[in-house]
Amino acid sequence: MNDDDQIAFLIRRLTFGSGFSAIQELHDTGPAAVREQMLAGAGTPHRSPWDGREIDGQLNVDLAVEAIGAWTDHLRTTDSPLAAWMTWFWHDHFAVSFRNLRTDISLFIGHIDLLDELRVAPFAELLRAVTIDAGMLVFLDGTRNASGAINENYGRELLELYALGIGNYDEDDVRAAAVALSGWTIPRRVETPTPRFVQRRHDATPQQLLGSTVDDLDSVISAVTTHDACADHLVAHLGERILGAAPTSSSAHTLADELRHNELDIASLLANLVDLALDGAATDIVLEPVQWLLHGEALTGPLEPRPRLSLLRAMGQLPGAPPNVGGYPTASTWAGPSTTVGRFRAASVLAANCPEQAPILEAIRASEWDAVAYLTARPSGFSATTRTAIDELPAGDGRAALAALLMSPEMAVA
Amino acid sequence: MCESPKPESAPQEAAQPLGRRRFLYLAGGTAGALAIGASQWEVGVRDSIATSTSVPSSTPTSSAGATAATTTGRPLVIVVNLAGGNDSLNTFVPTAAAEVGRYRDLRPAVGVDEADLIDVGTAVALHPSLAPIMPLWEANRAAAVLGLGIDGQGRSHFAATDTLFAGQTASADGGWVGRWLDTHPNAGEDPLLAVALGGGGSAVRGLTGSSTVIDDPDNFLLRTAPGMDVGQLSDVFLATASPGAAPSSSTALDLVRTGIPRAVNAVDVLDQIEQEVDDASLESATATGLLRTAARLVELNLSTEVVFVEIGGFDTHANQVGTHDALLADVAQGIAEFFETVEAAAPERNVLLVTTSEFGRRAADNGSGTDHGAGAGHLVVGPAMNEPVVGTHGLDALIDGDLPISIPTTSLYAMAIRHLGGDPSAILQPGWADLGLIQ
Repeated sequence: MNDDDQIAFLIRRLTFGSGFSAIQELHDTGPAAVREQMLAGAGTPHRSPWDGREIDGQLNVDLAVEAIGAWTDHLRTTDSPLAAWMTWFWHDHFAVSFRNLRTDISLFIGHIDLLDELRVAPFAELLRAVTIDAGMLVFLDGTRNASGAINENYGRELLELYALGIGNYDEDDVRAAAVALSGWTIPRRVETPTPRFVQRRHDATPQQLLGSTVDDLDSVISAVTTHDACADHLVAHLGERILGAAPTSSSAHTLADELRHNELDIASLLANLVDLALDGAATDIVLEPVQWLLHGEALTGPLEPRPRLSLLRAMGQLPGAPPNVGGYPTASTWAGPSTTVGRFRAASVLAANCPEQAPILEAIRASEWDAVAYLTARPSGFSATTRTAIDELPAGDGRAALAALLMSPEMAVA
Repeated sequence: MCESPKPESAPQEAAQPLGRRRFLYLAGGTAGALAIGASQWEVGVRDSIATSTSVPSSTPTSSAGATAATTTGRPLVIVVNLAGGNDSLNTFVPTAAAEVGRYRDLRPAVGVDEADLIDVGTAVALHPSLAPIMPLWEANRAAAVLGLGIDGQGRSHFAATDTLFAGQTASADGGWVGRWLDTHPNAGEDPLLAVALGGGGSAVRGLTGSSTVIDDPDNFLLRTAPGMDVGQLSDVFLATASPGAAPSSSTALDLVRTGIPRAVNAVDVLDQIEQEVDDASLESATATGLLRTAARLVELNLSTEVVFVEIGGFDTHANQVGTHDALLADVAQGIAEFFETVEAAAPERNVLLVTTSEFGRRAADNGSGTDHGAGAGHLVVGPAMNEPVVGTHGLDALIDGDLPISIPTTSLYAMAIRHLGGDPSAILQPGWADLGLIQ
């Protein structure tokens, strides 16, 4: 990758648009320093997207729009884009959906705040906190998991999705994890429920989990995070998101060894993967709708939360509501019919919403393709097919051309 | 409801059917992978539109519940996948003397009240939420197959769903519907032969046959912001992905380019479906809604032979009672309405509907719901049935707390493939059984 490609990668892949407005500055700074700033920013202290807002109460559409609207605004505008990106990554990893937290939207807000706080912490610390997080306890029925009424929902996904991956545990391990975690619950009818451990709901019978004896939260987290497969699992998931495909087996091996050596320190894994990517190991991906739309907003101006979320839902990705416990679909899904049709509509809405003086509108109106490539952080520009198709539109206010640009294949990938 | 101005929202947006000029445009493309794809689309869609002009003008209907089963006529298979793992022990509840006590012992928290069950005179009674399908059941047109599953499916949602869709545990070339599609004479030319709504894309994906997957039918139309020209913009949208585009070194870019004509053409066809677009809704799809869309596809008399419908929410680890009641009610209502609509509008279609799910749930409840299990029972609806119930839950032979698997799920697939005039042994691994259920 040359310098421009590296800057483009950092902006288009690892931000939700906040890089576009500062593109001149980023180029002047140079990729090495931008990389440095972004990685340092990934560790920036937690600042809640909901600071200063009172969002509380029974879940309804208005509350959800307000809560998710504030989060997506934060993703788009943060000056620590890689921090926001990592929080989004963990959201996809743990995949708690606000739709399943019937009781209170504040459970979802608390869950995302927790992910943000521990986004580059050692993984054991994050996993321990998530395991007894109020949102997660409700989402995967930990609150129901009690002695005599063992509920396997969390125990299974802990092993399969969060820490190890299928093939690295058996059904007895699922049961053992569930039994040892029994007793964690949240008090009912409390405004801000704080998880607590209720001894009489706990089954303290020692269990064999992955070859270790466990009987409580800490012993479960230790058994799981010291298992060899845990580092492999994290390398595979974060690696796929950053590189666009699972790392080659030799680099996966090296990364996992180093991760185990660093006691599952996520900050160093992140830095290693970013360096691999900047070294040319990354392949293009189809952008997920959230990232594509927020890139568009960065270029054409922000949408109100309601239309933003409505457009995203139509594209198949309502933020905060992964379709199942496995998280959002894989990248190739976003080239499918539903997302493609939604992208058409969203692009036109973005173009209609664009201020007259926006540089991107002026550039496309004048068919200044070098400027368009620069503003959209696409050093390789746009294909002759795309340029011709857009240039052949009848002259007008440029908004049709802008819509066509935003919906073009090139804008959908990074 | 009070209307307030919403600058970017839907109500003022323009929607417009695009008609056939789109396909003429695509047919003008030069050679290349995408050009072939586009011309295939053209043929398929044009044929479909031509067929749709011959919709029968009037049809007798019965208002007194289900009509008799069609035994001849153009076959249609509907698969309703209940994602998450349906609790079939509460869907088809044991009533036989030998099992009823065991059921009550296993289900102290979530057992269905005996007084609420629908007695159908067999060893199982139906969950009360299934009431809407009773006219079909009483007309001998619905049955339950118990003990279904695929050996080795496991208790992971994802591994078990892969197995369910492939019809086998080993990796397969496409899903089971997709492999049927690959044997169809029009495979590759007609993307509407198999349509998936709401999910299930990997079940209908074949090697050579193209299928149409619409995750969210309620939002599946081309619309623009006010003041923009839908026709002009959709033409330029297609042109940016036109066959003339130089091959790129980016798989992702090629994927997006291929996706554009596919999506736009699918919209052209499905534009004929009346759609309700509700911008404020953040709700998930319902079986009733998706099956309405499926019925509309059938009413349009397209070439479609398989519709795969997927709804979620069946992973009832907790608070199962009310949740599962509502899910089953939605499914039953959707099925009943589907048959009512299709039999009125397209009585010549010979419909076979089956439900599936990645696994059943644990025999014993967990105090509030049920955990992932193995064997499961499912509905078969449509043709005249030889038996109301095939197989058993096997409550007396639990394996690791699960209902045993005694009938391969591929037996349902074999029935569906035969219904479509295909050869199950060319598509499915050996092991499926001839259930002898439908005539």
